[in-house]
Amino acid sequence: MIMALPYSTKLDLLRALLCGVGLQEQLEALPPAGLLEAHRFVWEKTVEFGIKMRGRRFPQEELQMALRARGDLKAAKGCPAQLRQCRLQECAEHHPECMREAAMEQILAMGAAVSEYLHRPDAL
Amino acid sequence: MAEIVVVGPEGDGKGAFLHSFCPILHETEAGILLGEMPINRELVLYCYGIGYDRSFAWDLVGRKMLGYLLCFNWFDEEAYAACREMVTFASSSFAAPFVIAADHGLQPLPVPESAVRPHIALSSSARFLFYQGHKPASVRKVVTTLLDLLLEKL
Repeated sequence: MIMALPYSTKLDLLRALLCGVGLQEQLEALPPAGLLEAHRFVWEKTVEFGIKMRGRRFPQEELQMALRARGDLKAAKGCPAQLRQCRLQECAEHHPECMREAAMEQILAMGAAVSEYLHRPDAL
Repeated sequence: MAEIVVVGPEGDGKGAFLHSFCPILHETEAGILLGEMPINRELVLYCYGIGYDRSFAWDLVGRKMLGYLLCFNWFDEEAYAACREMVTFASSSFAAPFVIAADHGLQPLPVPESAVRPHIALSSSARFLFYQGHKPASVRKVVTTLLDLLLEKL
């Protein structure tokens, strides 16, 4: 399930990340495939802002692990595909509602991380 | 002859924008601004300055343009919505590289400068950056961002 994210959507997501508001509204309007692409785009921008603002102190692996832990916790609470690890890509087709919840949770967590990098650049 | 299109809000802003890098500026009867930037005796860069509308001869210019710039005031929701609509139209109609430029005017940048400099990539063919429309040097950075993008695509 692959869908190129329209530039207007990328612009909306970027604007929401930079403003620190409105990300959830943008995500709610997206279909499952769009949400997967939004997840990819927001991850790329999170890494970009993290590196630009924190340099070597940017905790990319920690952030990745935190996102994975969120997914795994969600899977442990009741994965409709009975997976032990949350896999957004695999569930986009057969369990789109669960995938939507998990993807949105992770994207909003990335948005919060971006907000911290941009507005508390010196925080560790 | 090479052409780029500058899409921006109605008013004097586009004239000042084009004048920042085009020494010669004309206005057509249809209200389209045309800037000329002579590169050498044989090459002139023509820059069309238009508003957020589709009545411009996109069918004639769109396919041969080198690239385009889409400008809006970062703090103006209506301008953002109009620019967004043009992004949708132009990016789905033409394959040319483009730059979306957000003018923050006299106000400070809404985020730390180091986070958004020199630009933010939206794809291999599209860039986003902030600028200040009243500063010619800042406008020229928008234009050079597009020119850099064109060179990267060669």
